Amino acid sequence: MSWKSRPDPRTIPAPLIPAAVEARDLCFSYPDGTPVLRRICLTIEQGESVAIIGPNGAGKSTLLLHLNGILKGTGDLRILGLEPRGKDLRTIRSKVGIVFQDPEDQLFLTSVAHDVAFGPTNMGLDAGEVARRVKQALAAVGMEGCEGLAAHRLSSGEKKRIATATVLAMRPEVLVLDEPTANLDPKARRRLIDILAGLSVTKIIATHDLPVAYELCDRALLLDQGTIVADGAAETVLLDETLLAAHDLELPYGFAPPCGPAGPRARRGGSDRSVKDHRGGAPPARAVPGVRSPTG
Amino acid sequence: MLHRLDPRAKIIGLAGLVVVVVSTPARPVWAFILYAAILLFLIGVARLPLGQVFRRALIVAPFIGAVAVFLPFYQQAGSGGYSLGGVHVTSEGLLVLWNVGAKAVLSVLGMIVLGSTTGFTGLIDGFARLHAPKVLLLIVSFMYRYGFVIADEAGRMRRAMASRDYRARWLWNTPVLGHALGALFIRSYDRGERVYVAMVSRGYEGSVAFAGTTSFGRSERLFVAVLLGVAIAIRVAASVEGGM
Repeated sequence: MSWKSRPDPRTIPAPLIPAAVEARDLCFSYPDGTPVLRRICLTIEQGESVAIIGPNGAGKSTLLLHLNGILKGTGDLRILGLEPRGKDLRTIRSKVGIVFQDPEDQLFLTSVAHDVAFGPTNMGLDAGEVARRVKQALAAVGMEGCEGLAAHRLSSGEKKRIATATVLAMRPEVLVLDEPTANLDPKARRRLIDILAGLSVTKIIATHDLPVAYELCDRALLLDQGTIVADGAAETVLLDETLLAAHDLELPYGFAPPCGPAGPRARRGGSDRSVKDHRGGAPPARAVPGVRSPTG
Repeated sequence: MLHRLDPRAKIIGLAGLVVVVVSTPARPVWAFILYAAILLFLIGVARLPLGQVFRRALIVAPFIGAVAVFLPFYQQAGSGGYSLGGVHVTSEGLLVLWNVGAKAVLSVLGMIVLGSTTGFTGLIDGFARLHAPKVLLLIVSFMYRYGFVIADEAGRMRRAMASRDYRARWLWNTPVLGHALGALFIRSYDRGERVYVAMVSRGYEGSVAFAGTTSFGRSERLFVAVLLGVAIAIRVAASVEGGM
């Protein structure tokens, strides 16, 4: 069965499946004692798309590095029902895929094919299956036929897509992305968003790009100084100007949310949202900043 | 067609050829001419641009030059030769120079043929399938991969310095370069950490599989057998003539 067409886990009775992430009083400090995460309590169910927003230094990346056991804080943490230590660490790392901010860090071998094959090979799959997954993952990010290219020949957008493919090839159940749209031009950004929107795995996205959070996620967490200060539906958190301003965030100038709830469900509703959005309302270019009432 | 051969065949064949060349006695000049003919034949078959090949072969020039400069000092016994303003070069000395020079040029040509027909990824895969130590291969491939990244970073730093009108004109300007180098080192070190985290996140547990897709078939066996067969035949004939 393809990982793209997995049934929505929310249709399965809840007790049967463990939460993707379950944290109780998770704390983490740098070796010099500076606290980064303070008593984080968080549950993310499988199938959710969650944005983690917050100013620089809020602890977003630190939290992400806990999700596959790279960093180990104190408190209770369960990933897909497993504790990130010992033997389960390996299982967790094969099920939680992290796409890091700088694709240069993720493409460390000499060709695209080697990089994409790295994860599946470490999972102990046989050569035929690895080759199949490399092909599928590259197709999923629209980079078929690039197997032989060297990473330094690719553009930033292509590097980002290949970096995503290196993680998709492991068929993760939880996809974690750190600033997926940083340093991308609008076209590369759009392509990546469309690719991510097409994946029906649990998604956890740390980003400063609030429109991306709005588009891809149905839930948003606001992290500031190591604590979760807001956790709710994406449209509630992301459209609360006072809340955002209190934590050094803001929506881009002129951003007007499309009608309906935020997140991937909104996208699935219609194939051409831009037409639907502006029906009866002002054209996007004349949208008045600050006026955020849905126009539909 | 040389390009499509399995890298292992080219590694074995050309490294073998270098070993044979280096072990040949220096006197029979014709043997070296024949070796050169083999290499020129390979260069022709692979359609490598001759000018570029010889430009790259110039890398041995400093070494041969160094041998030439120090020749009068370590090879004083012997007769013949010539004198240059009190410095006497013996014919034995000249033979040493020929020996070093010819072997160095031929070896480098052999490696250039290998390098320009195989490509970096192919070479790494080939060496891995010949059971070279994986740690070394990983180090080499990281050097290759991040050499570009670090060079880019250095270039950006240099431009940033130049944009603020930095010119290293005097000796007291140089501490800035030291700081820049230090910053570059720290950035590379940080990147190393991040790369390691990215590797561990994808299940890295200490080994990397390098997997080639080509196989060692009939043409590979033929290539190795003919190349090494001819080279060894020349080598044996040279020994016979040299009276060894």
